[in-house]
Amino acid sequence: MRRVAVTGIGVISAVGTGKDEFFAGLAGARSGIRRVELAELPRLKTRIAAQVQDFDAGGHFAKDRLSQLDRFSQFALVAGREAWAQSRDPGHDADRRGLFWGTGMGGATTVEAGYAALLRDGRDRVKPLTVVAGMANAAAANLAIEFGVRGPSYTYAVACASSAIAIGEAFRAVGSGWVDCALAGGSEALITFGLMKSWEALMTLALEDAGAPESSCRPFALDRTGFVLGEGAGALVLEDLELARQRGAPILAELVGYGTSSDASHLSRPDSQGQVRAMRSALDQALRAGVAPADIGYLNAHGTATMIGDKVETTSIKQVFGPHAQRLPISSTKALHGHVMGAGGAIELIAALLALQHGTVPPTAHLRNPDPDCDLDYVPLTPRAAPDLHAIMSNSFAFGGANAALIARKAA
Amino acid sequence: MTDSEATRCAATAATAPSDRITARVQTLLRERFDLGAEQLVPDRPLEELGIDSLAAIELLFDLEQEFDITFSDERSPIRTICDVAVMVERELATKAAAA
Repeated sequence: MRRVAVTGIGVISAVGTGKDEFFAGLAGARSGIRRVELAELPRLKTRIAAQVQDFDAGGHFAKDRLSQLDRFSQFALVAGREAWAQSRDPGHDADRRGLFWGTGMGGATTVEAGYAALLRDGRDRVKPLTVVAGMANAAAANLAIEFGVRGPSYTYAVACASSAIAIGEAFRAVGSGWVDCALAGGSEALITFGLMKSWEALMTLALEDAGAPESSCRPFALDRTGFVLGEGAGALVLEDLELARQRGAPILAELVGYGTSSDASHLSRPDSQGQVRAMRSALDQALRAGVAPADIGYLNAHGTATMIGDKVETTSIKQVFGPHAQRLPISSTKALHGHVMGAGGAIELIAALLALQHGTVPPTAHLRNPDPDCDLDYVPLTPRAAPDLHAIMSNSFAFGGANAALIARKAA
Repeated sequence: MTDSEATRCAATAATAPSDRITARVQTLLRERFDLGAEQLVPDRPLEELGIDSLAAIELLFDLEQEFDITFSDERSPIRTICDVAVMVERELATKAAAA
């Protein structure tokens, strides 16, 4: 197993675009949640979301290319460009570069627009590029084209664990020597009328806080009511550590552990044992790289702010970490950037990697009334200085029962 | 090359499109693909303008909307701006005849 470095990071979210703005937003507990901008707003019961603000697609892409790009591909390219630039272009043999992307529902915005044209507007045709813009692997394909990735190009659809698993599989591919470098992450753009309605129907969305909509998502709080849909993308460049060093690349962190599991029990109810197996598997691998469970100094929790989800995750963390669970700073940044579904794992790993880099743990925002059943150190309201932070972990648990945990340590 | 040569389709065939149609096709291309007027030489292959097979599909879609026509499934190959204008002209004629 080769060592795997992170040499580039890119992110776009409701909290900010670009890693610096993003982390400043998280540390400052600036919520990206607000009234959703949709023409059908009056027909929605849930009227809040974490939308990327002031996104100027025309400023990022030429007009003729734009019509080929669903919003989830646009986000992917914006995050990918930032990561690629930071890594100062990994070089290597293009045939030995891999693309590992995660998305829950791919080009759902494009597909929905097609149905609206046919079924709502009574038109007889849809936009000509509906298929190539809407397909689930559109983001991966566009990234591969833009960055000349000529090796494997995969798209992982594992609901809320999609991009965590994409990054984990990229880590395995680089680690095993199958590819020398990988562009990995995920993107999602699901804030449409039809999808908002679908989530509304499932009754897992947070109720709007009338006085302060931006604080409607309250992970681990007694008064939590569910999650808020977000959108965005997170991208990482992963490379063989030795090759990265040889070319003088910036080594931002080293990935040391990845674990995944499937509950195989229920479509939507989280299962503590499945979560425990994923976290333990990641920790076992990290231990072989010299990172012990007690070395983990920050955990970015899945923390969706559903009643059952936060409670089960608390139980799982206690079981995995034993006494260290009581000393481990944990936060859910979903309170700020929302639940970004297939992009969540990547965005949250990036939040944790930036915590590692800055020596600052971002808080769990809006956590004023802790739930006694969620009695770990969830770093409420304000960021915490952590100058000795050495290793981090990020959890992603998906509808369908897939779980993933990733572990990274500071670059030596 | 004179200005008239640069903006008109050569009358090599009986099917040469009207300047009016050619001009509308050129305007649509300019707006759709962010092209400069000087690039839109009628006999120039679309591929040279960066309009590949995918973009050509979009172009057909836009033309149908712009001229309120429906292209038949049997299409002659479109290589140049003139070819496009010819095709539009033909569909407009078909439509007029059917009306």
